[in-house]
Amino acid sequence: MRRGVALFLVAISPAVPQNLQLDLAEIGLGSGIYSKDCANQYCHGAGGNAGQAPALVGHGWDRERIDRAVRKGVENTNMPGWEGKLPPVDIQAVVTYVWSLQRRKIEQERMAPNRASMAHAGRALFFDATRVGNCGTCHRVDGWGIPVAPVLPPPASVAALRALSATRVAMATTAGGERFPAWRVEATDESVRVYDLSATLPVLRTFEAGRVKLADEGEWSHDEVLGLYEHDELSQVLSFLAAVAARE
Amino acid sequence: MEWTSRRGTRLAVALLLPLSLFAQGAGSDWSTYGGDLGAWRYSLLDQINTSNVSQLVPVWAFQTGDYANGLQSTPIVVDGVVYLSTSSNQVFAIDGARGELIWKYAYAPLLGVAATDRSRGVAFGHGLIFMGTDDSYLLALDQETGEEVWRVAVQDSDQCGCSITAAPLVVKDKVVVGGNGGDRAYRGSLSAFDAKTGRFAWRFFVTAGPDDPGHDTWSGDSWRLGGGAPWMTGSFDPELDLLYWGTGNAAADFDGEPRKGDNLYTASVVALNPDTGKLVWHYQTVPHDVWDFDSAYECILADLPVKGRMRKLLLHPAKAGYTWALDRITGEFVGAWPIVDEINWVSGITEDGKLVGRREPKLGEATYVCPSVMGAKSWNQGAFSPRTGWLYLPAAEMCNELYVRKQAPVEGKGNMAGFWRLKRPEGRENYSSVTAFDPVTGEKKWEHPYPYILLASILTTAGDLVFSGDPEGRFFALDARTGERLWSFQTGSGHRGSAVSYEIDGRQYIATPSGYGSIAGPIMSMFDDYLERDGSRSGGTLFVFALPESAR
Repeated sequence: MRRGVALFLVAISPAVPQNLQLDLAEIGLGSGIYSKDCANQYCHGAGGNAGQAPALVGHGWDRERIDRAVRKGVENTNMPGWEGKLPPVDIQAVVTYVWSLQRRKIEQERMAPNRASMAHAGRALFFDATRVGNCGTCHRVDGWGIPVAPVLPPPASVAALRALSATRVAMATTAGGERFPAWRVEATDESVRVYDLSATLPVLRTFEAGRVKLADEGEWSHDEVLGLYEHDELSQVLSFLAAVAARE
Repeated sequence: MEWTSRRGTRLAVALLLPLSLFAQGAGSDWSTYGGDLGAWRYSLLDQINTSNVSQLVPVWAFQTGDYANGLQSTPIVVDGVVYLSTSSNQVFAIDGARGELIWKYAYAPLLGVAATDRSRGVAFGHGLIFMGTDDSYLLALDQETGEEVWRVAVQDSDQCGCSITAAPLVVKDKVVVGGNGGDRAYRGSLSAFDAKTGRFAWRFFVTAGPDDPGHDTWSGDSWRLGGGAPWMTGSFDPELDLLYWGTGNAAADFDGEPRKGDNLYTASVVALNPDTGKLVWHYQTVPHDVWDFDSAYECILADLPVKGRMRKLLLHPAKAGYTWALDRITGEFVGAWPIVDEINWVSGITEDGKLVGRREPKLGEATYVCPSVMGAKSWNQGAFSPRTGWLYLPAAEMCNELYVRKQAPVEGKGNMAGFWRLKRPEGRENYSSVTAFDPVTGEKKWEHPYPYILLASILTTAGDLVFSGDPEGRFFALDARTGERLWSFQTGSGHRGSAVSYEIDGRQYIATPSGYGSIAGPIMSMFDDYLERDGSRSGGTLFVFALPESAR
């Protein structure tokens, strides 16, 4: 979805074959047609990263195969044949664009969701969508989650996980009189950005400089936000993080 | 009775009109998605009317530069400033009289770059402009400067495969927003945040979990990824203090076998306590949907006589081809009437609301179903005029063959469990129309046919006009009482957004997004003779019209 720049990565990467570099203009044209006619979420998604229809990235498909599918459509699917509907030059451009996607790396393989192990159970708990405020609402790991605070390396025990004190968490006092634990993001002469950690989901708030004061009072501990999980569940979460750390 | 707005234009007051006691409509501002909290898309302004609309001229145009997926937005207008969102989650604040840019906000995601997908509008309240993003964040911008005040990740887009395309709704001290993505393996939900701080307030999960009433309408664990995304904008009745929202279809779409039961609260209208998000009542329009018949569209709140008695109604036109009329105090079924000719997924709906003669798709067969997955009406909204008492809807006469395919759900990935082939119903000359209906009986008052599919919302005004646009680029005005076409202007690209009206210094303006795109375009291109390439030229422009200075 947010990988629209990938096209340009192809363009500047030294590993790109010569013929692709020569076709950059055609890739650009094809990308425009693709984003208009093929990229919606019911079809192949922006950048070929899949909508309801399959992803088009990194399969290593040859040009002929792509050309046939674009012209004739694919049986027993919603993929229409575009021959006669798009001018031949446009079809060629789309084919070239999709072909260029074949060299891109598929997103990093995630943990298979169906394997039974502590680590896999931990992953399911980390991202459990039925719990509002799960680990993934603040931490990004293994391709999912919101990148508020880093999560690796993992603590050695559940006790250590609970006791984590973050030096980047201050107590914020706003000009309006609010007080809340705040994860520092950035401060410039004009503005201060912090994550407000007082609610179930962290809020990235921007204040004019001088409209918020940050004090290192150490009033916040990680334990406060672990209430959605039992002790055993946190052990499984740590197994998941250890497995990811070992892989990386 | 009339009153004088602060800028001096006289506005007709809906209160005294015969059919409605629920005073509504948009005045000099168009401050919320549906024009008012009851989603009427009705302007109280009558300077432009049936006798002078033919003199309407463009006064300015604003090019957004965002063309992919068209311009699907409803502009919001507050104190003479137009706030317009675009498909790459940019927001423009524009001087409503002169078309000059006041500020521009370009969304920068924390990861990657802004996608160019869809945005159907912003919300306004508490001095802030709110927008949902393609990566499922909700943002608040300073109304005066466009500076970002807060952002919060409503969900993780990478996990849920979902996004936010709908305009949020400001209700008292909160801002409420629903997510898109119900055809993915995903559990739809509606979330509310404190408007000033962005702090999470509540979440209503559309699929009933183990602690919710209705959980027994799901077999096994199917509720976990059961869809139901509430992907459009709801309504609010301040008197009853009830929030109304339509929900999406159950998933997997076409294979109902793994999710036996009614699948509450998918394909339903839900009434929630706006402070807590707790369910007050629900009405499921399509129990156990297997046709991709979301019930996510507008909830139009109007007080109308039914069999001699005034009722507080909620009118809900849905993909399935009917408008459901419900009592909005209790959720009681009042009636359902067809908005299109081509309906075969049921043979009918009984007087007490039961579906009769369901025609369900079966594994290994092509099942011919009308309406199609695109709906008897797309998400673009209808309008209600208290002057005529009629509901104006853009309707699509389209069918499809459904094919079921077994598919194991993977969280965040596509989960339709089948595919479809659009089929045009035989023997028709037009596949779409703007139609005026009696909202209680469904009686057709007039019909304005169109050969292709209309995909823009409708605006109606106290000048007894109905405005909409077509995919070929024409923006047009009809007489609200007769359907007669009174005026048209070629904007150069098709219409997929929603027109609004506002007033500055005594002058009434009509603003419409122009810019064709979205899912429907490529799907329709399956038909060899459909609009061809010329009819789907991209665009992303706001056109604004008014009477010439000399004419008013």
